Amino acid sequence: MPATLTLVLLLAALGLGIGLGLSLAASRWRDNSDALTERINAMLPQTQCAQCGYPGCRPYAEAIARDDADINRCPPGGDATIAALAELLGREPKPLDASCGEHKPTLLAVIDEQRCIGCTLCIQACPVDAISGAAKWMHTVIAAECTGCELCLPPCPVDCIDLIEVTPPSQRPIPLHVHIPDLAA
Amino acid sequence: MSLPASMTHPPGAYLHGFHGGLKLRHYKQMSTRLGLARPPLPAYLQLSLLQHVGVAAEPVVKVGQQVRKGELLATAAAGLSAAVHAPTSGRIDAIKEQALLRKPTLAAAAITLLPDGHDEWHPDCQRRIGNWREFSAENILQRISAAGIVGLGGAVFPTGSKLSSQWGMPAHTLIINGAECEPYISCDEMLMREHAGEVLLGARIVAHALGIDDIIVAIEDQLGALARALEAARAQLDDAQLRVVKVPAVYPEGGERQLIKMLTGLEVPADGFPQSLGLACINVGTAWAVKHALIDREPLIERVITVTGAVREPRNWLALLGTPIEHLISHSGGLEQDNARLVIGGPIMGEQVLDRALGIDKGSNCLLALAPDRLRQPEQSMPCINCGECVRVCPAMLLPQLLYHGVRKGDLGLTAELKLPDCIECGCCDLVCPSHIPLTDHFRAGKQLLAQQRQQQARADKSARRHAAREDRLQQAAEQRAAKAAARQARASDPAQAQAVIAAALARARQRQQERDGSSGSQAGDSQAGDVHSEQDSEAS
Amino acid sequence: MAVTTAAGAPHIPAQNSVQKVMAQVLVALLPGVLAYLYYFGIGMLVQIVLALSFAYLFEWLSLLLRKQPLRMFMGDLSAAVTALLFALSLPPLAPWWCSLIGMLFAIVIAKHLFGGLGHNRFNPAMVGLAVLLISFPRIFTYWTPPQMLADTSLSLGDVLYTIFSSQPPGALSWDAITQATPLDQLSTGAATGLLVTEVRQNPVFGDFGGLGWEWIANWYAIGGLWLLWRRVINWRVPVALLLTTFLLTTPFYLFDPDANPLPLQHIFSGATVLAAFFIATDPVSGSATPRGQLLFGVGVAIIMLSIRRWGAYPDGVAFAILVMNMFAPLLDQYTRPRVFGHPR
Repeated sequence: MPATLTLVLLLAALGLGIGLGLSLAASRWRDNSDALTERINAMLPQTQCAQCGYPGCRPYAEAIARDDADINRCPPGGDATIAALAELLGREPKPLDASCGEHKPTLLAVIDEQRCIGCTLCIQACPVDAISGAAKWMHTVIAAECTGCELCLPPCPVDCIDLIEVTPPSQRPIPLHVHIPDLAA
Repeated sequence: MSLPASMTHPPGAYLHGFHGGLKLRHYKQMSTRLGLARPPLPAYLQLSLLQHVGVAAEPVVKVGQQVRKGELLATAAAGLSAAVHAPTSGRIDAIKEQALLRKPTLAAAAITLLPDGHDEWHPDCQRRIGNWREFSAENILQRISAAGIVGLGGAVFPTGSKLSSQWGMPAHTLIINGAECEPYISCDEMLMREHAGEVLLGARIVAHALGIDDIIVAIEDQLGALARALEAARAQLDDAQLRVVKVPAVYPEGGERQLIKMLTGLEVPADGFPQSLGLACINVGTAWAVKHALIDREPLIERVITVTGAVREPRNWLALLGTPIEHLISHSGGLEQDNARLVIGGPIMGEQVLDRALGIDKGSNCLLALAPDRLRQPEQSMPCINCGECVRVCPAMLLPQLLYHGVRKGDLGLTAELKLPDCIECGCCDLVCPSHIPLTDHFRAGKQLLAQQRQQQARADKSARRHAAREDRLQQAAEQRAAKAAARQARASDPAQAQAVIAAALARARQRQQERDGSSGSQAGDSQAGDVHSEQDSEAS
Repeated sequence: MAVTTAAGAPHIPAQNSVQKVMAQVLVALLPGVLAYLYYFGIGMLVQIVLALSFAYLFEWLSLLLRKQPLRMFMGDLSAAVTALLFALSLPPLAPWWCSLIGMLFAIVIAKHLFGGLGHNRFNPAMVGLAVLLISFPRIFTYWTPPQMLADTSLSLGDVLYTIFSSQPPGALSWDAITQATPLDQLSTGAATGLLVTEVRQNPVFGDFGGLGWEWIANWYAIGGLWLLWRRVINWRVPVALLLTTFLLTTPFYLFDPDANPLPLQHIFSGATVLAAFFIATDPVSGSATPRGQLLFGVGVAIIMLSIRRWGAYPDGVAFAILVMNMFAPLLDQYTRPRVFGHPR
């Protein structure tokens, strides 16, 4: 066989062999998906609002790790979370999927005690058990635990839950000449 | 009490250095030529209810009420707080939300008091209360809190709380911090020169409350006359266990941790306090206020403030709290230049005064006017050239240039690794930077962002845990329900078991009926029981 | 986060400035430059002028293209320092286009493409020099001899002619006006199997360094010590570099004085002293931490000596600096000092 042909065939075989070997290794020693899920979950805001379509932040993290879900489905996380996920997974950041919702500042649910009828429907809906109460007893939202996920609003039969903006702790604004990237509050 | 194992010699016996720091021109003589004096009574006093670290005080007076000098205007709120008292007699004109003097973008409730000119003391004040040496530690600390005393060095931490957190922990030395290190400020020096005896007496009272025998008064080493005045006062008080120690004037030697390093060679742990080394540390002004509270029965209503810089007659005033800034300036000869910048505090750590109608608060140690040509221009800063000067001068031994890069990039993880919260905001790095970068401003912003991020992270962690706990609980409840349903199903399909269950239920009902009959006599309910009986009889037979 | 128009603290300005720092570096180089001109003629002055001109031309163009404030950056003298250090590393009769290419790579590529002042990862002067060393190695064989040894002395006209035409002046040949440097002699001597002691018989060697070269190194050292006193540079890099050179060469010399040059020979020839005080101390491309700076100096010394001993180049300073520039971020990462109040 002419030398050139031998060379070409040899190199092709080498390339094929190495390629097969790499893909076998990639599937055999896949990135430990548990660890990846943990890391993705740590970046999510833990609002547990299900706006992404999954029943909580951890299921969404698992879906991302499995490559079943895109990284731009979390409205409470907003662009900051999308950027962080993009960096972790080595992908391009993209704008928030508008069909999931819009990014709002942190909200707090407040129950109007005059209208509450003690039906416990909101207690059952809250994903972090932030509502305190019992059947026919007054319900109230524990402000320190509320994530602003809004899941308590639809079930309430008398529409007695309002959402208010969380007043951020008083901080000293920074002088104009300080240049820092605009980090989401 | 004996020294901790890590301390090889008594504090102040030898002087050590601390890393970094700067020798600065101190510009203090201009304000110490004239003696201490009280300014004339101003037209109004503006008293913020948040003159301390913690929660704002809660007003106990109403608008229109007449109050006397020393009367309680606002009581300390729950948690970390301090009381506010009337600096003079007069009428409460308003209680409304106003900007804080030393943090102009924040606001809290403030009382406006119109002096009536009589300066009449409240009858509870100025009464001799007996020998403080016979008071218990609790009593002394309570009186300190009741007098609204906070750290007058500028930290304004409620002194009663600070000292009572130490109480019970063995302490061997009390350090009185008179090492006023920022340029231009001379209020502590003036106080010590004219009221040395009161300062030392106050120190002794605090030491007594903490069970401490040894006291060190730390002053800068250039102040020979001051050292002599303190020695004379000490001799007069015949206080043998009090020493005056002169420390080298290297800014920021007045910082508590740097001072302790100089006196003992030891570093206060970053997450700890001086009491872990058996030390307590208070400012000379605070000691003076303690004497007035414990011996003269006067709450904290006035303090020494240096008015200096581009004013015609720079001097120190013993001014009532709430005295308007404008009042002090006009009585110091007025500004030399109309467009001078007014700073409350020193030239390095002070805050620009945005509203001259506000009154001085407990932490106002200096009012400084700076001519525009003496101000820095942070907008004209150049990029960092990594020269390393900031590293050389940082007293906290940080790497300011890397911190700056971290904050600029928004890499808060890096700033946390580099220990940004340990920055004491002394400004040494700013003063040596050839590129004129406003480093300390960046660090302040970075610290806030870091704290915010940590808070958010803590909340997120808690939410995740609560959600997981809820999921577990629902899971368990579902499992229990399923188990019960399965058991019930099993029972229903087995006739013998079903019979046994029914028999047991009937027996229980009969039992209950017997108890009811026994306790209440025959009642209308008998017929039902009778029915059961008859059903049972018919079944059994 | 909210912003405010209130001025931040401190309110008083820093007394230092980038311009002052760079100006002091230039002043410190002056004695060395004057000594160079005394020993090696006017050629170096022409190189300096050329390098400065091209440096500022490229600086101006780059600032315009990047839309940066011209006055602030043209006046900070950092380009002048780059140009001077670059010129001092060139042979005095190098052709004019060496400065052009060198400054193009130094100012435009190594400095402005990376972000400008304060952002260059590599020492710009050394980048320029390295490009020439690799692309035009023959330029670096034409070094002029010190005036004590020169057969012919060249006038300014001759020098200008040589530099701008790349030809020796008049009827002279290259051999007549150039001579190998002491380090050159050592490396060719080693290649041809000569002993160091034999090589040192060559009149180009002085008491310890090369004739003329050792005096220039002395004057650089004096300038460098002045910079140390003025706190413009940190003591760590120069001390680490020179001490390591001394400590590494001494055992070799003591073991076999015939095969190895004197420690002081290494220190006082080539660009060692210049590198120790002026080039390796470039703050931007060096390490930010105290221990990192020590390691940086040690690293430069080790690589430089290795190149001199086993490498193809007689003086390994440029590449040693560039390799250590590569390591500087790593050094920063792993040599962070203890913070006040923390145990470690």
